[in-house]
Amino acid sequence: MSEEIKRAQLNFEELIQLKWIIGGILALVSIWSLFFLDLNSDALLIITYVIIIGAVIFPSIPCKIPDIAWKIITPVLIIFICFDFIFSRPDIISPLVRMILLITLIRSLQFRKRREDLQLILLCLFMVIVSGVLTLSLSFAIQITVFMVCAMAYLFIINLTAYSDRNVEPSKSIWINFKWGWFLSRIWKVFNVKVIGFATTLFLGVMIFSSIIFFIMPRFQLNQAIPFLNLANQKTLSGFSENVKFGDVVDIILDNSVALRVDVPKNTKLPKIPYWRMIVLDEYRNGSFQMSPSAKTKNSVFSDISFPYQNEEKHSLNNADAKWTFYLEGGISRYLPSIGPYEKIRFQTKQDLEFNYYLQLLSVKNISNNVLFYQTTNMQPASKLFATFEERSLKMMAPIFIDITKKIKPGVIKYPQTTLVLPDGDENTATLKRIVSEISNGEKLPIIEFCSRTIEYLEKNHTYSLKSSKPTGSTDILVRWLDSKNSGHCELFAGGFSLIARYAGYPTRLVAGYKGGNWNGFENYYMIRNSNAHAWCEIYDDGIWYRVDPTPGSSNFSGLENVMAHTNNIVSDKTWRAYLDSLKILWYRRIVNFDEEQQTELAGNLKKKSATYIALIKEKIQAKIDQLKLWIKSPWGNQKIISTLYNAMIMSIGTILIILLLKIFRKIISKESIHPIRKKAGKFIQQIRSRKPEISDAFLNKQTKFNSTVSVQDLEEWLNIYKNLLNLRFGNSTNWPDSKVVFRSAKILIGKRN
Amino acid sequence: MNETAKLIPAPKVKNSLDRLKENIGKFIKGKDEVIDKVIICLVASGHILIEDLPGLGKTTLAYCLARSIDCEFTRIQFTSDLLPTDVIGVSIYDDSIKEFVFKRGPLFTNILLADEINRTTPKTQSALLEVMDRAKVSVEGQTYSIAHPFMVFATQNPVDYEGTFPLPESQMDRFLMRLQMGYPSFDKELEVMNSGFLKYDSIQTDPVITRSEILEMQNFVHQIFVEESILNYILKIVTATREVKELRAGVSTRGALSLKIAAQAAALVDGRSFVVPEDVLKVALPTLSHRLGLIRQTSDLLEERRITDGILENILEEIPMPT
Repeated sequence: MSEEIKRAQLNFEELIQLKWIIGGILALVSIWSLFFLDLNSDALLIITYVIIIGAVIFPSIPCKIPDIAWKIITPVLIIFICFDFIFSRPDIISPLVRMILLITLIRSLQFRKRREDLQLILLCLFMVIVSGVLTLSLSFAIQITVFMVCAMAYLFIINLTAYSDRNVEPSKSIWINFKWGWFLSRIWKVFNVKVIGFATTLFLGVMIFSSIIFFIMPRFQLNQAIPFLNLANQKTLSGFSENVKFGDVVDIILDNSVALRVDVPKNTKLPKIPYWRMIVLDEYRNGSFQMSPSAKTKNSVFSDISFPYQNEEKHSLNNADAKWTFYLEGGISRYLPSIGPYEKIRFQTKQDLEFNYYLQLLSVKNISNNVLFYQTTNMQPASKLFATFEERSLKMMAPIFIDITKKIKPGVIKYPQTTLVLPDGDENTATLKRIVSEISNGEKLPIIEFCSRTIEYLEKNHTYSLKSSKPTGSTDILVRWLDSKNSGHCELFAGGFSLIARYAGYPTRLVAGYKGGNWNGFENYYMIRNSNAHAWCEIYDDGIWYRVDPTPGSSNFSGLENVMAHTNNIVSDKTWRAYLDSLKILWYRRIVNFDEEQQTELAGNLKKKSATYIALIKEKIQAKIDQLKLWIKSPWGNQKIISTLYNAMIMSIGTILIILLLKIFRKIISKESIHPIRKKAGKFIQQIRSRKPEISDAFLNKQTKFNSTVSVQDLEEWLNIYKNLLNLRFGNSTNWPDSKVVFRSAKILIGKRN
Repeated sequence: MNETAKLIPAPKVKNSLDRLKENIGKFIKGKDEVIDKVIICLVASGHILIEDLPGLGKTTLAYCLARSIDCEFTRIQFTSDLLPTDVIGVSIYDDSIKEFVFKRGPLFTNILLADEINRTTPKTQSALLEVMDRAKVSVEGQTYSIAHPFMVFATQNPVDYEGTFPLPESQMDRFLMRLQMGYPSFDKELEVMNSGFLKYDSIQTDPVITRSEILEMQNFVHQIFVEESILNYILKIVTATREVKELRAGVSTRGALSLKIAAQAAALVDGRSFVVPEDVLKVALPTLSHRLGLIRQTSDLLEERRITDGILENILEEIPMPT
């Protein structure tokens, strides 16, 4: 069967239409990448997105915007952008991205000439690259790939249109008679083997190029090289900084995104509810806890790729090769979460580190904008911490009452005494005294007893709620809360507990971090979301800081109730969200976190797997052949012959059917198609020719006398419609009248006369 | 291919051509259809072969056209002893500058009336026809381009063809259309009797269109949009002629192209920037019939023409117009 392949070509108008649609897609891809940034302008993003999708699907609508609107919008936009920059100082990135976004929106709605086309590509490139550099996320790979394909196609079409022999600018009228079905069928037609081959080659080239970028980008600390990008774009959650106000941790809890991922070594025992300790706040002042300056006096600052850390007391560190890998998302905190003491911590690159000796906290100097990796060896989940030499002087000390509304003078009260500071004032003291006597009846209780009784007391008087109302009054806010029966969140419970414990003579400090997390069953790691943020306490007794979590529902003391569970037995999260997240950790493990060992392992696995598959297939084929041989050798009875014939018949009928279907399909494909508007106009012309031949006669030769079915006045109208129909049927699509109007009036006219 | 870049001012063109038609119609009465086709030919930059009896106004028509479009008009009476140099021109030795100087022949004009072209020898005929095709003249290594617009009205007498050299079909192909004048109706002839002139030289008329306007229109013709189905229709007509048994050969590809150009010109003359099937229908007969020859040649040229026209009309009736 010889098939005549007709080389179809898109005409100028169709190229312009294609250009518009690809441009829209380009803008959409780029704006999509902005969703990964925290810009504080989600509404603007979504609106822009919806508008551009609308402009792509209904391209004739933006063309109806009068030109004057575009002239007006420029000064308005400039004023808006200026104000945006002024009001969002000192943040530069957000208004900058908003500006780009707005210009992109305008460019994707405007009827673009070559200059605007190129501008659009640049704007989109900016968006993709900025979000790629800032987020370093897996989606960047997809974005840059799609972007490159679109941009190349776009540039290609721009070139085609620029070098076409048309010297006239395209006009908006190309959209008047636009039909998606026809357009797609035209695109389908020009897709021949050559085009597909060319596009595939181009795509492969792009893939190689983008994968090079993709693999190289995480290797460079781009944001360190370009200080401009260090202007943190992502909102830093203040919950994990040195000053925590009440409610800050709650703010974090409301965010459900994953903040920390932890690769736990195999065969490790984990507490059922792990506490990821991040920051310790020792000083209570003016209604909030903070890290006192004196607690930072023994900080050591250094720059290294690794850091040997050991708590003063030697632990029984087992499992010598166990490595824990932490993936801390950007913008969370500069303090590095850990679950207990470890032997050594190692980073990917050299880091500026700071170790707080008193509080046993390791932090990086600058908060990272993108994900930070570190690996610890021999980490031991622990619920207590051995006190430092200075802290051992605390023992049983009396609480220190000072006016906490004023700043504590440096040198007056030094760490570790800060962990005993309480607000002064008779009312405050009276309340605390009442509570402590209610708990301990004036006795000196052992620490475990004291803690459980205090937790019991708090649980009895307060319920847990994320929304808490603080009673009004002139006394200290936390004391006021303790005095009331109001509900509260973890911070209030932890803070309240600290005050009571301090009054009873136990040095206490507040700890913020994450509690619990979900075990990802797809890739076997811990996912800790921002909603796992939590605050608890550390209480000192006899050289040990015990962890106490006074919040109802999770109350436990020093891991007494915290059952250790084997990693294999943890209830795992197997939802689709967990699946999506597991892709992210794969990306972190294999690509971003450059681990040669793992990459070799990956390659080895691939090789092994493919080898096994090939062997398996071979085996199966061999088995089938053996089966066939056996079947032929077996005796031929009537039953067997009949079933063989039956099978052969079914198979041949099936084959014939498939061939027929293929032929029919080919015929349908190769059938010459005609533009739907031309088709419709043709139908109307046919109707007029058959019902009113005098119209076509009159059209051919005006001297011909027409009979009386059409009056002279009507004739003008008829001829006009007929001419318009002929134009739609046979005319060049650039000069088409509005088809809808013509068809409507033709319908009316034909209907009226019959 | 049909990227109409500029908007063709088709209605404006129609207005000017209507004026031209009217102007010619003042002198050639009752022959509107012939005038229409002549104008189509003019716009399509084609040449015309008029086959008819003497004295029916062929010369007057050509002369009126030339006068109305502000063009030069030359007439050559073809005889058996006419030489190519008589048409093209000849190099003469100029004693004063001691060099050969090319003396241009009657060919260098806009509208050329080649009267009784079948009377002259094939040598002279082909010299003229070559110029018609190439629009250039080469004499002794020098190339001279002829004037623009250039249009040849060739006439043949279909009755008295004793001792003639009939044009072979290959050369008939060079003419875009073959027309016949025919006798006017009684009323119209009466009008002619009342006001007519015997000698065309005495016709006085002012040009209604400039030469540059004509050239512009000739450029527009190629930009007239021809939709796919119209091209199909043209090809269907052409291929149908190739399958008729009575014909020696069907219409050539050049014939098909000529039909397309003629249809485009017809559309422009009608004030449209696109071709409709009716345009094709209108010009098909005069554009194709002279390109066809019967297997059994008859002794009567007029009879032969009638048969081929009949075959063509049948074909046109059978092939449905695209809708």
